[in-house]
Amino acid sequence: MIRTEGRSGLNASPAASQSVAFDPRELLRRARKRRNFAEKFDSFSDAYVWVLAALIALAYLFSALFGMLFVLLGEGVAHQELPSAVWRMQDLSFVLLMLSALAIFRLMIYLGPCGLSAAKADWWLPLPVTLRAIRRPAWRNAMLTGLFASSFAGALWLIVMLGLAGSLPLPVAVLGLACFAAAGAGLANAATAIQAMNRQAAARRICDGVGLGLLTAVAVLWLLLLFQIPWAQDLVGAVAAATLDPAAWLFALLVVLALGAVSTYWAYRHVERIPGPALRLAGEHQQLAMGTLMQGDSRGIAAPAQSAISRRMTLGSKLTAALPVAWRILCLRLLRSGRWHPVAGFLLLAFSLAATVQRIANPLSAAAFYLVLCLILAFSISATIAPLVSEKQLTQPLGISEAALVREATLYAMLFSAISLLLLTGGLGLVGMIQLERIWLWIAAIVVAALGCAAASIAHARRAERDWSAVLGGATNDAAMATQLFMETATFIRAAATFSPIFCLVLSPATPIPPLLWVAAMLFGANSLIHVAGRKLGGAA
Amino acid sequence: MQAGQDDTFELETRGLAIGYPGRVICGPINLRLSPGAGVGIIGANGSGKSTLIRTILGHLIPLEGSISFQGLPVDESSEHFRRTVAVQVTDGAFFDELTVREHLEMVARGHGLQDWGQAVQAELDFFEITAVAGHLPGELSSGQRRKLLLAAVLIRPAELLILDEPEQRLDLRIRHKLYHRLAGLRGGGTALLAVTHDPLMLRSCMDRVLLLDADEGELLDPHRGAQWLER
Repeated sequence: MIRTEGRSGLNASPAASQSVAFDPRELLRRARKRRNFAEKFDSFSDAYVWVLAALIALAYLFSALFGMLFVLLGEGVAHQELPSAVWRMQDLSFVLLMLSALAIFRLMIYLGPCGLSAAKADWWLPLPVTLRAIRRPAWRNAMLTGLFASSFAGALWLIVMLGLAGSLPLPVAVLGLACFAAAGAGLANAATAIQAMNRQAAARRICDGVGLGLLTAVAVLWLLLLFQIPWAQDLVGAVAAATLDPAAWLFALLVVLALGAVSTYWAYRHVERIPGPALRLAGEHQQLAMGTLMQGDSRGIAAPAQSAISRRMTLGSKLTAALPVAWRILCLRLLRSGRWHPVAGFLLLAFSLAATVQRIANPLSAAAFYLVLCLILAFSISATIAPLVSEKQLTQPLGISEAALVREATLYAMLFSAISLLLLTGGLGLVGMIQLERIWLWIAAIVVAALGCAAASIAHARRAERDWSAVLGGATNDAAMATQLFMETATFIRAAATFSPIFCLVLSPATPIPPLLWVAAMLFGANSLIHVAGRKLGGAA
Repeated sequence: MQAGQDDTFELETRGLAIGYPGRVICGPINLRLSPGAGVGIIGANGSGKSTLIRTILGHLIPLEGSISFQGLPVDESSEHFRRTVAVQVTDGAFFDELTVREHLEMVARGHGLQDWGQAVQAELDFFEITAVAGHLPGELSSGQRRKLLLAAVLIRPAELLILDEPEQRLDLRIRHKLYHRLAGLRGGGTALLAVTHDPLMLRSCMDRVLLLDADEGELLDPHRGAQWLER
């Protein structure tokens, strides 16, 4: 029986004037009930893997953060007494706290936070059923996401405080975690209300403004501390002391709970007004974020916005017109997508920390800065060169062989790495963190390190689509899983190994560098030389 | 440009300019669809056909002008809009765990059809996908998935059908059946707005064609629209 008579025939709904009492989730529940034991166990093991991954990440981050604080504070090594270094690390922990809250709020706004998967958006939103049954679970998920993300950030923050203070009173830890959890749920609720009012762009601008204001306040306070203004010193001291004061945390918790209650009521009032397109778009963002986690590839959520690329469309057109086509592609990708921002941002952060925070101007910190720059370069450059080294079909329209494309990409990666390393070296040399007397050795060390960064970038660009869930799912036990993860990080370990001459020059400026170390560093970066020579490799490094 | 003859408009755009901030693709477009009208939208790639549909549905903000549906501003979230407008604009996503039949059941029951079992079977038969009714979407060919999407649009009651290239991946016989059915629905008072590249569709079930070729668009009769496609 097919209707052709239109709205006046069978096509007209018998319930045309009232909401249909049908919950579309019913069919999904029915489908889930009929799953066999293995499928049910799969979903249980998925959740188990996520919890396990969070716990493992926390355990690793605990060590990493402790290690980072150890080197930043230069434990056991002499540091430069810079007159401009007036901040103490603990003074800045409050700023870190505020920036964490802002980051979580911005993440919540990016994620929606209420979203629907593409299938739910396509099939549920057009139904004339009450959307309460659809929006409420999305809201609940948003709150849970905010709560867990904030609790995770809180755990990291407490680890930092433990590292800085040496010990952490139990009430501070408990109240702090509770405060973070409540704040996460509250921020998710506020973001929900903002989503319902379609004010995400304005909220993002406000977030950025608050962040900028916070950093401006830090800069102003730094100036006041530099001139030893008493009230500024008292203020900074009081705020730093409050971060380890249980009474202050209790007060903060009460404030957060009160604000959380307001934001929950606000979200409750508005959640029914979230428009369908907003739910659909949020679902896409959540899928991208999930892909980012699953593939260990930040391109999903850190990809440059289309609007930003459009603004920069005229940038570099004339400048790059005379370049060979591969270089033109790379330069335009760098300029228009702003992929130099992470490196520039890190250099600015490193110089600021070294110049303004006590004890950071030490050789261990300098070595850590080089190590972090190595990672940032590898990720950042790989995002720029990825099409040239991973999409073989480009060779035909460009009329360039695969080996030639890889060679140009490698040369670009080496040049970009070398310039970045030179900037970091020059800046740290100006601050006095490193000694640059042996300039030729420094230049040689930077060239070798640039080889390592280029090799890692190409290797990462070629395997960026790897699905981490498949990697973890294929591992049958903890040892196998650890092996898989180690294999994944091997690329970056090899890149870091090419920095060993730099580490020698930073940590022991007067000691000759053993020739064996040069040879080993060169070997780890040799893939870049092979790419430049044009030899086709069997696979990624 | 106008489509439809009487003064009761299902869909009306006034001075509508479409595009993206800082980039007008087409406009102003003045379009009126009365009950039972059929308007095909044609044009070259990038001329704004899908952008027009997305703007009408509220997925994009009009750069200028207004859109109303049955005299009210278009609001995809409103229950009235969801009840009366059936839309097929994308390739669509599917629930991995639901069968073809269950997808159609969801739509039929969601729209309050009393005889939903019969309606689902009728759509399965019409689109010749009964044999795969118990299959999951992942087991379907792209053409079968397309049929499922169209079945989901046609199984429900609607006063306005909005379709984006419904002919894609359908064989000629199914296209003939589909166009015949759409013409029948129009005869029953359902308005039809569809982007298409198929001259057959224009000739079979449209009474006006909106050609998005110049800045403002041009309203043609179906025969001329089909000739434009066949150039």
